[in-house]
Amino acid sequence: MVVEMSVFNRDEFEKFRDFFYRKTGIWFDDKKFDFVERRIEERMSAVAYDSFRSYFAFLRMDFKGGEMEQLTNLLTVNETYFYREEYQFKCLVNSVLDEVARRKKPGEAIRIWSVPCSTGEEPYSIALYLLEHWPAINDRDVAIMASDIDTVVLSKAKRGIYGVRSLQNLPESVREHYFSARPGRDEWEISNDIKEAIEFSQVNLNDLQSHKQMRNFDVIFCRNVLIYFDEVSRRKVAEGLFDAMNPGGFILLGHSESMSRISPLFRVRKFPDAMIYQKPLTL
Amino acid sequence: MALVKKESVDNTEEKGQPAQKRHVLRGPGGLLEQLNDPTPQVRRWAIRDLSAFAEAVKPLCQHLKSEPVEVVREAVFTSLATIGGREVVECLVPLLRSEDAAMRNNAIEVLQQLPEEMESHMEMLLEDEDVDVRGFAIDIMNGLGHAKIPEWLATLLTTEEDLNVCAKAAESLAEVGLPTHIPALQGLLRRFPDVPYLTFTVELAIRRIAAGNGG
Repeated sequence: MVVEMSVFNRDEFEKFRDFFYRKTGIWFDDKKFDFVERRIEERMSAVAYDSFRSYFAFLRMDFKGGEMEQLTNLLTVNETYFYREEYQFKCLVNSVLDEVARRKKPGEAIRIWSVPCSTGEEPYSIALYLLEHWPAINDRDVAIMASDIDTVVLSKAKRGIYGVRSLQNLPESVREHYFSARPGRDEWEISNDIKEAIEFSQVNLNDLQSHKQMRNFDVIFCRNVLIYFDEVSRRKVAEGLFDAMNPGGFILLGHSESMSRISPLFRVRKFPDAMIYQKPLTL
Repeated sequence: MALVKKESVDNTEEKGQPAQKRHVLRGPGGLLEQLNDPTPQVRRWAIRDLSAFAEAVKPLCQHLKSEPVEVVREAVFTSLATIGGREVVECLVPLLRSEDAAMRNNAIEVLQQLPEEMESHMEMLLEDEDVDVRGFAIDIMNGLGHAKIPEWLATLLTTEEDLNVCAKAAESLAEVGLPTHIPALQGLLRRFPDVPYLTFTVELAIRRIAAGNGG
């Protein structure tokens, strides 16, 4: 009979989850014990630690964040798809854009930045959501920029071809209207009009020089990336995003992320659909 | 009106905003001069660019004392964290005595990122006459990746007389404690009997330490 040894017990799981929550803002309830254990076991094996105690000491000493990043990658869902965390797009069209529009001069475009944009689902979702759910799009210009550090994913984003899994949250009417099926493949291509409406560029959020030219944004989507940075980088990125925004601009993070844990630069704004962060109107 | 593609990235800057002319790396001399600029945004940008220059530590620390705008002070702390090193630690440790909570918290956050440089300061901080400073030293340890933390906490448990500092130390030991800490933790319960929150904290710490040792 094979007896499987547990990597850690309940108390050690609780110790780990307290630590991980403090570092990332992600909380694992008791039901996630096995999920967490399997992934820790995988990392322990990769870095050759045979006890949780020694691995945890190593993780805690890892102030540059390399191991923490590897583990966080395993413990989080990196999948991206259209209309992911849709409540934030609702917040955008129901509350945020109207407030931003009121501050704009006639003819001045509203500027939105999706970073990191990965393979494009997020910036295209923003575009589709505006066209479908924000009537003022008929009277306002909106410019959407999208950036990522990875040129491979940027190329995919520009191609705009997606599998069924990416499109699973899209209403069929939206898919029919803005996408065309690729013959003989289980793939859909977003229309050229939408592709051409997005400006893609390579940006490393962690490199000040790389994104200095990205300025004057009214809304930034920066979701599910800050959790992967070490503390200093997180501060630097928050500073960079702050300077990239217009006064009164809004920033939307992933559901487990909290800007308040990273930087006091932004104010919390509670809207009916979501709680997001705002750059103050005056410094 | 509709979705529009902007002309090019370089055209994103608006006229009349000097802080946005950021294409070229500037030397430290000009940047240091800009610390006195009346526009907060210009000072912020100068401070962020100064993070590339180790010689900027002293002027940045000096600037903290006079900078009136919080978001500019934030940028100073971020630049100091980016530069790092012994000089940064020496500049920030005195801020643990600041009356300004934001200053203290920022100092703690940056010091947490400098484990090697903090080593020579930690024992001194844990013996400080000011009970708040001893408590802040534990706060620093909570985010510090340093092998000596269990040792520092063990020493503290034998000498510390303040209940709250002891409770903080016990809380930290729940995460980093070793079986050798258990007698000292039990000693806390004898020294401070009938304090429910300390009892809870110590029992949790002992349970978590024992858990990793088949206890």
